[in-house]
Amino acid sequence: MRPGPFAYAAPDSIDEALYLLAQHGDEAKVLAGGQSLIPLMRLRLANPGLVVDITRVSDLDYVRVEAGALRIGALVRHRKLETVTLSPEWRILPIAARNVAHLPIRFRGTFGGSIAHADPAAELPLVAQTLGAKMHLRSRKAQRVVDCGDFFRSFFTTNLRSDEILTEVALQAPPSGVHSAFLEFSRRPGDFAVVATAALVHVDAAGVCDWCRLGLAGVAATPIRLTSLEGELIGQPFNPRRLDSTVDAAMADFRSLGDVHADTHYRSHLSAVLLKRALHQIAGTLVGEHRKEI
Amino acid sequence: MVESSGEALISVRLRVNGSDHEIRVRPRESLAEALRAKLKLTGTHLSCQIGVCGACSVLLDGDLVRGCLILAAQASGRDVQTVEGLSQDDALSEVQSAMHEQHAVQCGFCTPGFVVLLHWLRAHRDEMDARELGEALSSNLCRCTGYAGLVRAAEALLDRRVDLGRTDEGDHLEPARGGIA
Repeated sequence: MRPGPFAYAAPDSIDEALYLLAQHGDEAKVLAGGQSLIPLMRLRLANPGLVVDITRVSDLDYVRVEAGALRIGALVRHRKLETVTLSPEWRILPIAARNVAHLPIRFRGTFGGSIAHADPAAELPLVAQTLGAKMHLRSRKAQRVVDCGDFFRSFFTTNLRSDEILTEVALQAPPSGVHSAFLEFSRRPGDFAVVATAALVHVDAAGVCDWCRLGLAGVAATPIRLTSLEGELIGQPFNPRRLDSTVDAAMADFRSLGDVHADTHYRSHLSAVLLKRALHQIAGTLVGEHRKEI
Repeated sequence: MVESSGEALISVRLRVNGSDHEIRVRPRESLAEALRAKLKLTGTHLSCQIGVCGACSVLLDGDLVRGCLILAAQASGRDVQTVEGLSQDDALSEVQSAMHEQHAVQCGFCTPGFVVLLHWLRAHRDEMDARELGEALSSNLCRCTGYAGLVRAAEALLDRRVDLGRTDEGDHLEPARGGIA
């Protein structure tokens, strides 16, 4: 099906784009990679009166480390994130990006677009939530920084106002030497995850976990962080023999949302399975490092 | 700034298969629709039109993309290569020959999309491992389910193993993808 009729503007600068959004309010919709918005428009689930194409705004395509944070411009394509060279503590980003949809979609889809679209099963919002991202939002009159916990409100719903553009996502650096794993279960490669997990663990010289971030997508209205399970792991030796019981105990009362693709019981079970696999993978790399030292 | 008012036609300049064109399109016209209707390049097929099937695959500034998920207006000033531009004269290209030899064509509807996909993979095979090649090949759909021939053609063409992620114990025992850092 074709999208409904709309007017189109492709401003060259962020200021022009913000001016158009201020003028047109809810009628306008920002188009970046278009890999979610255009299907929604074709299905007539979105019917904007004006499409503001921001892909000609050149200063939003950057990935840079600055003051201990990784700053990702809104227009960074998934394919760029997948192939960019980053220091080891950021390795989870290319792995997560590689899990987004299929290659042709990753050539067009953008980081900012995925975050602003806020699909609860999407990979990059999961990484943003797990790493405590700060979202930089700009309107014609003001700019503000919103913590990811406040940004993701519900299914496809964020704190972003109709006159604002998400210009940058800033991720605080994990500690140097962090180990990370990203796993998702999907029926076929390229599908949205049924459940996805992001896990980052740092252990000190004595083998005790002193920093940990764990997140899940596909289980709630937004991606979630598992602070209670993180708390169970931090301060304890990162011992592969105890990981399963720690995860099982912490996740015993966890109830995922369910839908026609996978019910609550299945997704809840899968969440614990993926968390255990991710943590065991990390434990495996720790053992590998230890061997190298011997 | 490119801007239309309402459904007014927009002028779009494109370089398609090496020739410059100026066409007038409505904002809601996709690149694939414009290629077919305005330039009569009907090798780019339209099927699902929501980015799932890959029949409309084209190269945009060398990137492998879905022609249905890009507005024609968005492609203004860009370089487009369609399936028509990937072979010279009447001779079969290397990609087409591999597909011919390995019987990678059944009804033919998905074929142009696979030609474009395989053309991109041929040029970038050294950047990808067997699993990535398998995943990329799975991004286009053949509803005749003629995948065996397509995989054979890909392996012959790329001179690489294409790993579709199967295990001896079944396809769904392990998460399809993931990784560790």
